[in-house]
Amino acid sequence: MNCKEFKKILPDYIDKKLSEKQIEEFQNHIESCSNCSILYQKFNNTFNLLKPKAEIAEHAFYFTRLKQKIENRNSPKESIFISLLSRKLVQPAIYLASLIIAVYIGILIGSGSATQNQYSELNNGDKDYIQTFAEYQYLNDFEIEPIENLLIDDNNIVEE
Amino acid sequence: MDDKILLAKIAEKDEKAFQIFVEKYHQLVLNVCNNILNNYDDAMDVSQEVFIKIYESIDSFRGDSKVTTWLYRVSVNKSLNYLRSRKKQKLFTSLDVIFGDDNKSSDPEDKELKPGENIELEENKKALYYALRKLPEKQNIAISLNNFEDLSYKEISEVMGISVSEVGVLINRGKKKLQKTLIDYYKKN
Repeated sequence: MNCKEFKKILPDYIDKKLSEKQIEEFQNHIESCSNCSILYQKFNNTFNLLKPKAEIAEHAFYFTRLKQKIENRNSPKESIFISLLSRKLVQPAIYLASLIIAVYIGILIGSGSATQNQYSELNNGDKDYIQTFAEYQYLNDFEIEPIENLLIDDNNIVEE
Repeated sequence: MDDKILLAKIAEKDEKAFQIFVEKYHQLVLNVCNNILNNYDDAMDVSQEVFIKIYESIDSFRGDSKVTTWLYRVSVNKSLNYLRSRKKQKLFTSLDVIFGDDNKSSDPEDKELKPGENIELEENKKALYYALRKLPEKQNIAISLNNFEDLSYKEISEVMGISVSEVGVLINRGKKKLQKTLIDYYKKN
């Protein structure tokens, strides 16, 4: 008997529908094949669960909870239409809108500096203000110049 | 108190009679729901729905069948409705999972094992309920009622509103499919 044949007659073995010869072949195969032996054990244990189970114990506050549920049901609540609308339409719509907004913001951030963007809140007047403010940071009233200029000057001094 | 008197009083909206009825039968209803749903919290919710349904539609009970048969029937229907509605909710639950709402479990079947529980037994239970869910609804219910609730074919036929021979066919076909699904499941795992 090979593994394929074994799997085919496994249910019949559980149901005791096999001939003596088949039973012998079946049992010989279980002893020689570890995989089929494990399969048989699992199958048999699972199928044996199909029997009356231990009953769930009585629930001490069952009626109290039931009464509470009935009272909650009778209390005024939103209409079924609104509840369905909210559960089945609004929630997915909010998820979708959030996703679109997140992607859109990502594209805006990735598209370059804020000043190049037509949607930027900074206008030319704001830029002038920033420039003026930056200039006042220098107490000696010098013009703003790149830091490289200082390095160039230092080099010149060294050469002299 | 006799069931007929209880039901008559419940029909008159006698709360005390309803309480006695619920306390007498809630364990049965809870067990049926739990055997179909395989989740205690869901079974608790659905079993309460069963009693609410019974309270609201008590007038429709003609008394032709036993009270327990009626309870089984309502419990099975409510549990099946719950399973169907959960299938529909899966799409939206999966959205919640994508967007990180951890409060909503994707599926009770995915629940993790608690420390100390018999891992092998839990694995076997998981495989069994996986295979039962793969069955057509009627076969699943017939097998569950026959094996878990220990109901006879006749009782199952009354609960499901079909003939006894049909119950036999459902159970035999269901068991064959169940065995095949289990073998396939264990071959993959």
